[in-house]
Amino acid sequence: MSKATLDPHTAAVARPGHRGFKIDPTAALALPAVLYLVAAYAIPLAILLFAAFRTPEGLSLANFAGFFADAYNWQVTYNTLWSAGMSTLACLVIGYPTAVALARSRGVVQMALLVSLILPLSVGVVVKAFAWTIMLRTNGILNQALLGIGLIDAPLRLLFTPTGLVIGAVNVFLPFMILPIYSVLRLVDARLPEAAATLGAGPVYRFFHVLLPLTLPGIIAGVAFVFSLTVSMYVVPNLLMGEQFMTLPRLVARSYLYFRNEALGSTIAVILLVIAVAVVMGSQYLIRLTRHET
Amino acid sequence: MPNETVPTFSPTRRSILKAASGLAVLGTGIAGFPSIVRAQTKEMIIGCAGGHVGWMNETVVPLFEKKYDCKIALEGTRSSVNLEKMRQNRDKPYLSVVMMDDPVLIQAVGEGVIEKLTPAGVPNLSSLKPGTVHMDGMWANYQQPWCGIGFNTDSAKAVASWADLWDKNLQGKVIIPSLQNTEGVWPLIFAAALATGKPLAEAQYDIDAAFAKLKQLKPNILNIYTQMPASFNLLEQGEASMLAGAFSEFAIPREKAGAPVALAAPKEGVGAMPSGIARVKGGPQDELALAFINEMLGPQFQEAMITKTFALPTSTKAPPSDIVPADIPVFAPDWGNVAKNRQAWIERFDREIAA
Amino acid sequence: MTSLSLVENGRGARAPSPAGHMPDAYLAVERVTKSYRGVDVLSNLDLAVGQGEFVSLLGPSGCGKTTLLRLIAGLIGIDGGQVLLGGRELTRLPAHRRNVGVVFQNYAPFPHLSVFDNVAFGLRAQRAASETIRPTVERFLSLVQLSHLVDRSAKALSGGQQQRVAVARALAVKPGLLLLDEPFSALDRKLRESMQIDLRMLLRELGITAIFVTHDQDEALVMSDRIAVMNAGRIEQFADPATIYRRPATPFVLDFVGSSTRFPGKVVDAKEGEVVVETARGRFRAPANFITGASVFVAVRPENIRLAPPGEDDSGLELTLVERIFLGPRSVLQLAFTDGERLSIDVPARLAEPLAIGGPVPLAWAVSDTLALPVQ
Repeated sequence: MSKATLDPHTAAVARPGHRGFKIDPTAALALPAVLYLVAAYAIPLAILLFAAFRTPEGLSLANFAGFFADAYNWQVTYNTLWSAGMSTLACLVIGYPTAVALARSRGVVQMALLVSLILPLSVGVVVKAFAWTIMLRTNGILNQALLGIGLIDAPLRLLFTPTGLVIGAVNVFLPFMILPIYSVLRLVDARLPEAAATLGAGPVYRFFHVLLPLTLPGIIAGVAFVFSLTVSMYVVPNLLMGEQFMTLPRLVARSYLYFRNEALGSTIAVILLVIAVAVVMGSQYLIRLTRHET
Repeated sequence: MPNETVPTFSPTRRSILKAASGLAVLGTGIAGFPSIVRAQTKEMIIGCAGGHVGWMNETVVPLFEKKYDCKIALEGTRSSVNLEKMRQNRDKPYLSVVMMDDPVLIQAVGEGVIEKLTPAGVPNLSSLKPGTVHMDGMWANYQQPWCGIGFNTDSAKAVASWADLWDKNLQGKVIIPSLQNTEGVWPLIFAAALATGKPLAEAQYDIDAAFAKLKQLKPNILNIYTQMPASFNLLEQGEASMLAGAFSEFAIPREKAGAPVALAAPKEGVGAMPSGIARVKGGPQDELALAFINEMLGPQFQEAMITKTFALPTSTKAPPSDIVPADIPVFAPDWGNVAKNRQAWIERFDREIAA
Repeated sequence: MTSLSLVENGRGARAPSPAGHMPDAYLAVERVTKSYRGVDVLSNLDLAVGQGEFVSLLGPSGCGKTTLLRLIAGLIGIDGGQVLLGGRELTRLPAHRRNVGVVFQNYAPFPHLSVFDNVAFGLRAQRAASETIRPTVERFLSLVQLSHLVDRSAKALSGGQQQRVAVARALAVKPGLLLLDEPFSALDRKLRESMQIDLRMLLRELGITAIFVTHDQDEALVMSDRIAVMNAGRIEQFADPATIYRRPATPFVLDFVGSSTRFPGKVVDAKEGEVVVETARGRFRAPANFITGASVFVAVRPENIRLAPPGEDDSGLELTLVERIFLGPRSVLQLAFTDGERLSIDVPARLAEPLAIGGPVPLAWAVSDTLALPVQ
């Protein structure tokens, strides 16, 4: 993902340097995208950063200090990271075996699996989240299923609980875990697990010592994807959680739309941005690390 | 939309007007645009809540268009968005009339984007119920939607008192609105009255008592919503038993449609929602605007609108409504006080009730 | 050698090994059947390999040789029959319980591990005592001459080095049987030849029983104790390399291993150990057992053909020289029958020089070098 966006960039920068700033004319092809990004992304980002650091006394970190001085905001930050972390973990645990099945399937079956994975992406998040408010009820289908197979004795309260939020988020974001893992799995030589088996490695050993390390880049990419998406999700918690479980993105929206407090909104937005950038850069670093080791 | 394609009274003017108002939603202040509208005689754009467009077009808009031989375009969106448009187009307003909640109208007064109404221009001002003309005539209430307790009729036959929300048998069964929503003040104000025993008009200022009482409601709270439809759906499904602060215009149509819900008017009273109408300062079609406001404050239009909104009329000339029993108080709080304190209350609500 | 019984062709399991001992079938593949989507890839196949033997499965692609290998390794399921190794039945065991090593065509070193960790992989997976791991790994790395690359990433090695790692990795766990699936096919010729010899010596030294899949006849001839020539899911002939080459049991083996000149015909006279075959090119004698009237091919390997008139116990032909192509040490002669059909043989250049284009060329070969094979 970000690998694809980073590498060509560095390549394009490095080249003109060697040729004494002679810019490849094909670079002009990127101009529309660059202009678009500058107008739609870079300028607003600069305004956002400025707003976050601006205080009556000039530019400072006062807005951030104020934000973190409030214990409530720590709780909100924790809620945000917790829900993102749990959703990511659940996506990984569910998504990995799915990706393996997808990579091993062939022909029509694989096509059907891929379609069933990608088609739901065309259903809006609002619709999905609203559907979960129906499924998660005490007499909803999920509780009835759990009661039916005897896993629980009494209906669980899921709606408007953090568990319900994670369940809904997994539904929305699972494809973003499965697809990167699947794309890496497809490149793993099928002979490697076979070779491991002929060396006496059982299925569990093969998984932890061959498949898992080889698919680590896909896992890192998937985790980075899903974590960045879930840490910034707004609609899903808005519908599946009430005010009882406040998260940073909802606080951003409230600060701008309701409090009209631009300083607070941009401060929280910058905090979210820092989290997202840290996740992306961290994952890049980890991917590079796994590449160097091998 | 090029200027030359908009001749006066062209057959396509309505569609152009619609498209133009659509454009205005996307981006206001397009140079030259307001003058297009002003070039039209007998056409007027009114800003209102998105949820009001339906009943407006079914009731008062056709009445007015027929009576005054004009066209009305509605720009239905959030009150705060309409306020932002008025602010942006302060120099060349294109809205003539705005219909907003009182707290937003207080801000509009502060921004200086609305014009005072006088009995000379709006004769019906003088026949309104007390307490429905605000800030010396800056705006008036054309109806009073009211909020009570919505309840699931399978789980209760009636709700007699706001105190019933605290019933120990309702653990995880009560939904309340976020304080971010206008109706969010009702649980707070009625909690204050229950806690202090004072009349609502006094209790509304005792916010510490309100929070202390509301805190005791926490075990019963299923959800604190900002988006009502999803929560109301839970009430209909029986996942929740009560929804405190349910709107008349939302709950009663659902009840009439056969959903197992009803809207109770508890003995302590119901909350009167602040549906205000105001004239945009320097807006086009000033005469038409005054005529519209006057009609909205008169008995004929109010009688027509409440068949759809189930609100209470504000004109004393309108026949009394039987939607809320006569002995139940209809309470309109000090919206100025609410507006002043709301941000602090929300922050306190977050920490003490929601967290 | 000439007494090879044609009745036993394709049932090579009972053929004698060149070492002279009748193997007690250390590896026994019995009546094994495998089909994909209703098409038999292997049908009722038998194969018996003695302990310490190096056996090649030779055949064109699609003949089932790789399927047989994967089946023995346990990498694919078996539809019928059984596989035994040292008397132990493997048929139902998963691959990791069989103690059968595999070296793959594409090397398949673990790219995320170093050379050391690649070789140590099986030892660790089998929970070998930790103090034995390092010496074992070092020993096998030195056997494949890779000691100097022990800390390298396996991915960073050349193809030949990667294949050495794969061999060391497979041998380090002391497999009861080593299977090699065209392990050298991706290497260039020089490297391939030296690795063939190195591997052969190493396996002999370690006494490892090995099955080697290849489609390269030279490779099979160089390395094997015995060769099983496979075609369409069956073993056509299973014998030592010399027998395979000199006494091919079927026309398929004749064609697949080496080149030859052959003429179809009918047996017109048969006596003890010799037949006379009538062909469009004349009558030829050949050492074989057929009944009179049988349809056969008569064939002769080109290196057995001399530029001379036939003598006693020889067969011969006289053809016209059409073209002579000089290749340095040897020359290729294009010869024509009277009806224009061509035949080309190569001979030492020195012998070809005196021959005139358009002139007659006498050819002769010994009756004992003549092959007679049944038409299938």
